[in-house]
Amino acid sequence: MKHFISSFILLVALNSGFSQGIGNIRGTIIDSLTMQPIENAEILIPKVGKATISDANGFFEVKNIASGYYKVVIKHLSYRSKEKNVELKDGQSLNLTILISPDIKSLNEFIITQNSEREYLISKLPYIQTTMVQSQIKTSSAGGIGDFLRSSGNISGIRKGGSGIDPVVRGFKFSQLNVITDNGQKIEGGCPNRMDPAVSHLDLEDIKRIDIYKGPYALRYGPNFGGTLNLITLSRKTYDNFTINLDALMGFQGNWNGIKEKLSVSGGNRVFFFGLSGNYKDYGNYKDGSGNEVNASYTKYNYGGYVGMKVHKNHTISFKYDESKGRNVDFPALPMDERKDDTRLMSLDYKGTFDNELLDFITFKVYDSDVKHQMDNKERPVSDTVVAVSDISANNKGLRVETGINLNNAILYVGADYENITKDGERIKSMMLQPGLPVKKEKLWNNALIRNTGIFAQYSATLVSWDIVAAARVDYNNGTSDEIVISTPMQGEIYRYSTDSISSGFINFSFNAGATKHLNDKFAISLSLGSGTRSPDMIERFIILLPVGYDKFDYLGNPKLKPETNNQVDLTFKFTDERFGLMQVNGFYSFLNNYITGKRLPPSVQKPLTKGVLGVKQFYNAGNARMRGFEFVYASPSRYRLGVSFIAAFTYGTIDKSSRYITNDQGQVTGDEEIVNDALAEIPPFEATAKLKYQFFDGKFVPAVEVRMVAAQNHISQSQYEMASPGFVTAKFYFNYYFNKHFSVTGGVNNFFNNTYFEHLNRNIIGEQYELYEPGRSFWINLYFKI
Amino acid sequence: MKNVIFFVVIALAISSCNKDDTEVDVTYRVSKAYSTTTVSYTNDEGIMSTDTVHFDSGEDIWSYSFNGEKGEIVYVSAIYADSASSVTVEVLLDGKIYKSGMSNNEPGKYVIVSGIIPY
Repeated sequence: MKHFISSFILLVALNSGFSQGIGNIRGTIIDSLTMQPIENAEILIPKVGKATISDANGFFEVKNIASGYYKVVIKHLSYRSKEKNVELKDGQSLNLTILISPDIKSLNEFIITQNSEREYLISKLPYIQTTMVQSQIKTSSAGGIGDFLRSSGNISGIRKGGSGIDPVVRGFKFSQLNVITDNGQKIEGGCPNRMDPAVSHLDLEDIKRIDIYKGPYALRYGPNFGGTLNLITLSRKTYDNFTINLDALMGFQGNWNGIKEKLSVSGGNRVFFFGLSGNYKDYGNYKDGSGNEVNASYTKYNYGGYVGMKVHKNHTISFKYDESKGRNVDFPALPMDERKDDTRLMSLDYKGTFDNELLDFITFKVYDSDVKHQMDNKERPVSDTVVAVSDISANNKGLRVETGINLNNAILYVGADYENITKDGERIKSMMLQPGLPVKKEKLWNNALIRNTGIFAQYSATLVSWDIVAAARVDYNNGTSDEIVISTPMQGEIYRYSTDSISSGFINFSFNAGATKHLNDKFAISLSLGSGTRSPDMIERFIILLPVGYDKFDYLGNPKLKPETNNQVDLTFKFTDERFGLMQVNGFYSFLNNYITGKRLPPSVQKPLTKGVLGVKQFYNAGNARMRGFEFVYASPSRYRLGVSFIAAFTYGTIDKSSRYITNDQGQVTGDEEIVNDALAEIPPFEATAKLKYQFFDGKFVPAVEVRMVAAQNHISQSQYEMASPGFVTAKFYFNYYFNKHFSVTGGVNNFFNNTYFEHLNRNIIGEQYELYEPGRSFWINLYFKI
Repeated sequence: MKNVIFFVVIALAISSCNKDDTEVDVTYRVSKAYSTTTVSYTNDEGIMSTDTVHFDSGEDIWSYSFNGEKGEIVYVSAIYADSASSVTVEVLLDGKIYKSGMSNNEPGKYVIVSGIIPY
């Protein structure tokens, strides 16, 4: 590691030493029709191989360019490309205002974009980065972020109820994914059954953008094993004159009899900016394609705001606060329902950019995420005999600091982050049929604590036809808990981890390097190699007997677990052409070491505490596992009124050795057998999605049709007793109508043919033999108001 | 346009003020007993209470009422020692029988009626 840091320092010194006669090119990209700034325009300076992307104010800046004559190229999927010739003099900061024209008149923020394929044009990374934007959210009927993410290629979700869908990226899930908000804030869900994954604590309507990094590569944002999801909610937009905007949404979802509402006010001036917003969602049960009602109702609402200030020209401080509530959220595939969730999120952010040859920016964030989660089985038949109520408090507080250092044709990101996770909770059981209503308390966590401190560096360079990225990260992770003791009145103490033996600490190294070679202005090929290590999470280390896995076992944490490592390679071909569109093919291979999964404990060691489960499993490091797959994307250019896109994705996962329990005729577990090359559980099958849209009335009315084909999944885990799932085809229709700048409508029909189907990752209904089916045909409409 | 926005704001405000009535009238009723009976029940604070009730005839009724909330545990039990006695135990929600239990000539046996106030 010392050599690595020394190399970076040397690079900084060398680069800064040779910088002479340089200047900067900056400016603002403006829509020629609306005169509004354009975000995410790509600005290229081919002569020096530099590029950047305009921010929310349309602003861009390319620093440290030698004086001379340059051609500046501006590209954006929804606009006609433009070139501008400029002369940059020694020491000059050239300020440009560049107007570009929409490909079709009246393009606006409500229009259907090219969806998730769009990012491939602007991403210069040698691995897959996908960006999902607000206009996609507006043309989606998804109730939550997990549901919405399923519309992206090779992202699936584990459905346990109507909401709280847990994202799965290329088969990686739970703590194998690093989910952050606004570049660094983390949220620790309270529920051991993952009713409330991190994505469930934010309202989809508050999301401005989601950046998805696939693979163990985006080390700037925290320890990373299988991928990173960065949910952007914060806007630092300032205004030339004092402005107040009001946005409102009223939406209705037919099948669920669900309503959603949003009201937000934002504004500011050159110095000050603010925003206030509130969301309300009330969804009932839905019916599947056969007309069977699924208990999936929920009520969620949140309110919050942010306030910020440009304390100096390029220095911004902002504070954000949000409270979200969940009430009576049904999870038919889990032993309990969420009765109450109270979440409070706070963050303080600083961002400074510098007119400095060396220093590009500094960001600082400090945050606090607090979750109070209550769940119970009161609406389950078993509550006639035992009522169980679990109260859990989970807190994640931390900070992140990062600086960008300009090098010749390169930037070096260096920073550090820290998080402190605490979790505590118990399950209270009331014995309803026993005299005196005896109450039993069982700890789920016992003041569990995990701390992670990391330092990271990423070097990104552009050299003529090469884009190069190298990154490294070191984490120190330690965890502890009060002692874990399990005892029964009959057997006395049967299991104990004392405080001395429960603590663990790890130093994890993660690193990657990759490059993109631009063969010409149409073809590029990328190769990325990375190794990401993550420490075991709260559940894996400290959970005390709850069915948290895929199978029907109580799980016991293991404080002695070792971290697991993902060694991955990604190979990507990109082709972009203004007439043909863009096409990308990616293949990946992951070799996972110390893979964490569950192993059955004999009943003589530990009996389960949950009624109806088969036994107890404890987390352990199972050795090596492998995942491989591919993604294919094609999208036609947005210059044409007719738009076509196609996505196909596949992942295949195996574990070298695993064990399977053996049962006798009475269903009792009698032993174990070893399985070689067993399938990894909960890996989504092959799927492909084709979209067709047409832009009428200069893009004001855009209807679209989407057909999704999912193959059967027959490669299933024997050790987890996973069930195969059949393939299916679904179709949906949706539209976007832009009336004027004050009013627009989106709507559509999901599952148009009212098929009865379930996704492979949907969990089983508790107490039933069948899966949790997806909703049948559902009409939806969203009305957007803006002043 | 401003009128439309005003309407939307008002509609959102009104809809956000709508609140389900979560309170339910709960009554525990013990009857048809002919001797001293011990009644245990969760009171309005959710705490277990015990009353020793002297029933003189089958016409006597012991009852306890409170305002409960949906999702709350309701529990009442009765036990008697006289082999010639009996008891009927009922839980009523908003005046309607929700659950009930009874015993005849079974001294020393608990009659337990419990459940969750439905959501």
